[in-house]
Amino acid sequence: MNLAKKYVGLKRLWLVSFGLLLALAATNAYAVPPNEIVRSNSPLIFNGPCCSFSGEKVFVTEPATPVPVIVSWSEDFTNSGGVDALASVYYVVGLSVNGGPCQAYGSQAVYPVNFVSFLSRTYRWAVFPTDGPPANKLHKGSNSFELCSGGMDPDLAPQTQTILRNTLSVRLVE
Amino acid sequence: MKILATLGKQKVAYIATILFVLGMLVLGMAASAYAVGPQPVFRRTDSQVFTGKCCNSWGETVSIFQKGKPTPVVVSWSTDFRLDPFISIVTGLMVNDEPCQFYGGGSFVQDVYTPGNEPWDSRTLQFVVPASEMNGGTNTFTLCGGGLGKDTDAISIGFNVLEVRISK
Repeated sequence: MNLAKKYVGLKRLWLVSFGLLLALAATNAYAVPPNEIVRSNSPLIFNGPCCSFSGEKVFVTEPATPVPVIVSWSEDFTNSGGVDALASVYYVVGLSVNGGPCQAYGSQAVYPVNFVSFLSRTYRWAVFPTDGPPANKLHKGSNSFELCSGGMDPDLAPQTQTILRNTLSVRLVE
Repeated sequence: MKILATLGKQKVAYIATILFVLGMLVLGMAASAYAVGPQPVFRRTDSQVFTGKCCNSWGETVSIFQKGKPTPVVVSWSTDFRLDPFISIVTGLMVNDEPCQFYGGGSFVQDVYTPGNEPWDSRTLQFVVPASEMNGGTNTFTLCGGGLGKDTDAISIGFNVLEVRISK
């Protein structure tokens, strides 16, 4: 009897260990390097004209010969200004690459909603190795990408944007 | 050896020269093919206006190389846009220059604003192209679209990024 119990116990232990190993392998397979993605649930507020920096930053490691990267940003937002104002571009959003100036690497327009509701938008930007001045170009090793934004209509005051849940991520183009 | 002997030295040299030149040409073509290579990402940083009913090529193309049997790809398009109220625009893809097809949500409409004063907005669309619509090797994906109403339907497209990647 004792032997049989021991055998069952060992079998269970083996099964549990095997399950844990499988779970660990699955976790590793889906893992994204932690620096390549930031998710925030706390409000992010941009005040004033373009452009101010958000502090939200992601990093990616480039090989010896840098390749293009894709940076994605998904947000819930609201802002001041909107209906029947004169400007056609109210707010813009962009990136600071390796500490460089705030620039557009793709779509940049933020729709004005005049604080009536929250909207959701996703932006996907492409940064090429040829972009930017030498000091801020993509280079071998770690590269940073910081979100930046601001108002474009000087007649619109205050130029305020409130961003709720948002996700910033970066990946190399394979 | 007998064949070479019957051909004579001059003819052998002649054939060798032709083979050498042909070999160089083949190598050159291969090198050119690699030099151009597939372009999985395209970015445009100016504004364009597309007018007319669906569907016309909008001229933006990406390409990807897949060895052997192709697997599905995801084509993403992230763009700024502006259009008049009550106009509906649809977008799709021309795969390997075939007619424009729809591979996922690709419609644009504008909220109600005073005509002539519409603000710029942005959209990110994703198209999934099945393996059955692609060949082994390099496949190209060209953005296409147009209005659902009148011939004068127009959309302004601003800064945008088109990207293709293999679905994993």
